[in-house]
Amino acid sequence: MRSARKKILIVDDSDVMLLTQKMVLGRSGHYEFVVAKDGLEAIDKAVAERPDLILLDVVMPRMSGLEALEELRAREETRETPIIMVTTRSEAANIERAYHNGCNDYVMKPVDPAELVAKIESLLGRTASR
Amino acid sequence: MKKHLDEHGKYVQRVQEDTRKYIEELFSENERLRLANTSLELAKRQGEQQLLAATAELDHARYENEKLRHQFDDIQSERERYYEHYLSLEQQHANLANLYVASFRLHGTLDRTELMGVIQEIVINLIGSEELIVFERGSDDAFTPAVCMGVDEEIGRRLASGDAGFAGATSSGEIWISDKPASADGELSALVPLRADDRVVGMIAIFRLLPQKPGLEPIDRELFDLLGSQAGTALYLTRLHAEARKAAP
Repeated sequence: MRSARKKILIVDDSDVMLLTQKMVLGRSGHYEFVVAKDGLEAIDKAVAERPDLILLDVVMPRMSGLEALEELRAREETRETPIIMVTTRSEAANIERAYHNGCNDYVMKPVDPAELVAKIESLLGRTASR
Repeated sequence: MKKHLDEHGKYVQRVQEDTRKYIEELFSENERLRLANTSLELAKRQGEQQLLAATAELDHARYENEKLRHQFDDIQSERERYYEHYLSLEQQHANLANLYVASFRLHGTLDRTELMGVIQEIVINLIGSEELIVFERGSDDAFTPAVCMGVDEEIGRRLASGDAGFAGATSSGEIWISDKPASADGELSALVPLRADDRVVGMIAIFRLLPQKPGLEPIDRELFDLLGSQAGTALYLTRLHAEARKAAP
């Protein structure tokens, strides 16, 4: 039986980021989390876990977030999954590429927790249940 | 002549009759008007009373409306205060989460390389800079760059060998924060002495912040305090751990 909480896949090679995002987003009790530490693992976990939303870092080993984004959008299972890019890269070219590759939104590091929560709620809705 | 007098008499009688009828009609009309006036007066009085009652009711409704509007404004103000308080609490929670995670990760390893990685992660992801150097104090008391990210190692060597601000931070153990945002290549935003038991064992030099970060905030100061004490201790422990492993048979 599927949990009433929404499932978020957090993808970042930084344990600091993984832990802080889980702590900040976990406070509401509306979400459960799956983590991945690079783009390749992100694709595997996204296909296996079918998260409701993906938070995707850009600069990662093995496969970058932008490459993973392209791959996720090419797959049937993850084509419609909302994806928020989380990155230090504020250059316009990077932002354009992310939107071109199919991300739904973009937040800059250091992350403003209120902004991140607002964007997640905007994509998932404020209620926890489907 | 008699005929003329008869005719005149009849005329007078006719006039008298007409006058009498006219006067009767006037009296009737007068009576009708008097009754109508009385009726109108009555209606007017009733109307005035109703108007007074309606005015009183309207005044009361206006008063109630004004009262409700003030109550609504009070509730709205209180709601805004609660919401600001809620946002403040949420920000405090996020700040505490950052501090907890930083502390947890700093003390989660005895491996020097991994510790350096954690310090970088904290500076990049929580403070917001990709230009930093982590210095270590050697046995000769010289500070040498152990990790360089986003800046030339030569800048680090120049800082450690001749910069007055750097020397001041290493001797005082006090955090130094620039009063204006760093904009040029090699320009400092902050110096964070890493301390272990009142001795400065290292230094974090932070240069330019990420473009989307306008300046350092109070939470960054708290993170600097945490790095200064806990990263310093962790760095000292990794050294002891390495020495112990080297010495072990």
